[in-house]
Amino acid sequence: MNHPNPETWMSYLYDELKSHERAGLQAHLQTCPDCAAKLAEWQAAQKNLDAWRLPRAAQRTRVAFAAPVFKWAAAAAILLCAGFWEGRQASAAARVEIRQQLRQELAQQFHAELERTASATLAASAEQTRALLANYAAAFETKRIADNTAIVSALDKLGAQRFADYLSLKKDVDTVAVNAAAGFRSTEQQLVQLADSTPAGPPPAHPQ
Amino acid sequence: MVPDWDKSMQANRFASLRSFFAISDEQAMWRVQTQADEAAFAQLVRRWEGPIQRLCTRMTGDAHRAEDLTQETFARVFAKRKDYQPNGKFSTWLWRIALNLCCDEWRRRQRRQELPLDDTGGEAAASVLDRLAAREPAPDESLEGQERGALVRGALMQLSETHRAVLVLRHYENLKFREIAGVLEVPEGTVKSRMAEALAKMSRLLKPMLADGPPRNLNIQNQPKENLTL
Repeated sequence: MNHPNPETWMSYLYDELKSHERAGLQAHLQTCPDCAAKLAEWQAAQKNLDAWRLPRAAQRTRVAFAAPVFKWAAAAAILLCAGFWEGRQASAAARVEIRQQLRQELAQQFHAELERTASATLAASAEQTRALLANYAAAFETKRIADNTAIVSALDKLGAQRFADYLSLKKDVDTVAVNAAAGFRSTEQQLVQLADSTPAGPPPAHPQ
Repeated sequence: MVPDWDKSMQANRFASLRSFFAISDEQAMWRVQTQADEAAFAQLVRRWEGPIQRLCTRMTGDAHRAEDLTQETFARVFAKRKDYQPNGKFSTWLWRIALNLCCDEWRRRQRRQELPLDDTGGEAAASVLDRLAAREPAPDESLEGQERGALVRGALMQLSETHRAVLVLRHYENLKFREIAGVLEVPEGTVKSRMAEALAKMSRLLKPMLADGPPRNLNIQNQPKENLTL
């Protein structure tokens, strides 16, 4: 028996199949206990998922959005009633004019309300962004100052070390020079002593 | 895509008045992209704030953090408005941004070890469920419902990000598998197979506790551990 794959069953479970495909799967379920058991397991999980309900956060948005609509709708109703009463008193031409004025006023008020709400939202976002940027800038500046301090300190230390090395080297060279001069003097004295102590004899015989 | 609550709004008595001003998401986003139109952006925020907040809550299990993530999502939409491709659906792009932020948040929290690891953390999964289930049974129905919800949330948080994303988008946000494939940029078959795996894992996690209607005193401490691990 060919069993439909899990992907097909997912389409069945979430009702994304055409009617004839669905009918085919239902027929298969009648004859295949394995697939029926698997499907029952998925359906149980599906049902359990519904237990996690969120407090309808979206409703807050909806109410917030709907509130101005109701407010303006109430204003519109009052204006319409006034307009209707006024219109009853006026001629047909005047009624048309009043209706147009009312329509324009309502449209302007609605636009104004939309713009006000949008501006408030964006102002809040911009304020938050500015605060975040300010925090970031402050943190960046602090870090930069700390880095500069560390670099200057390291350079100072390096300079001091090099100066100490130079002094040590100079001392060593001076010591070598002094020792060498003393050695030269000692050798010179020994040569003078050696020349003085040599006896004067006959000149050496030259072979014929 | 227009969310469900928006559909219900359209059905009310102000539908004609509202539709006079209504523009599609793509048109609004085009205005935001080309003119930085604040009014159009505010309209998108109003339409999608609820669904995105629900998604973030389901993905992170934290309603308060979800509010921040929702704001971050729309801030990113505005900042990256030039990247939006006008030939694509706005909702697909928006879901993707929100999901990426949720996944980043999830990984940050995992690094800080605020959360148990996913599928590999069987013991951690069990401990969360133990903790949730260790409460005394509630006498009234509403509390019982809340506890069942908490169990489901705890189990959902044990799934991997990929499984949880598919499950949340399909089951809770009611996107079609084809749309989810577009959001996640994977083949539709992959989405369906992940969905099957996610449901099977949820079933294995929750079966011992929720099999017989009301939770069985919500006491799973005597259940064999292998039933709780993924």
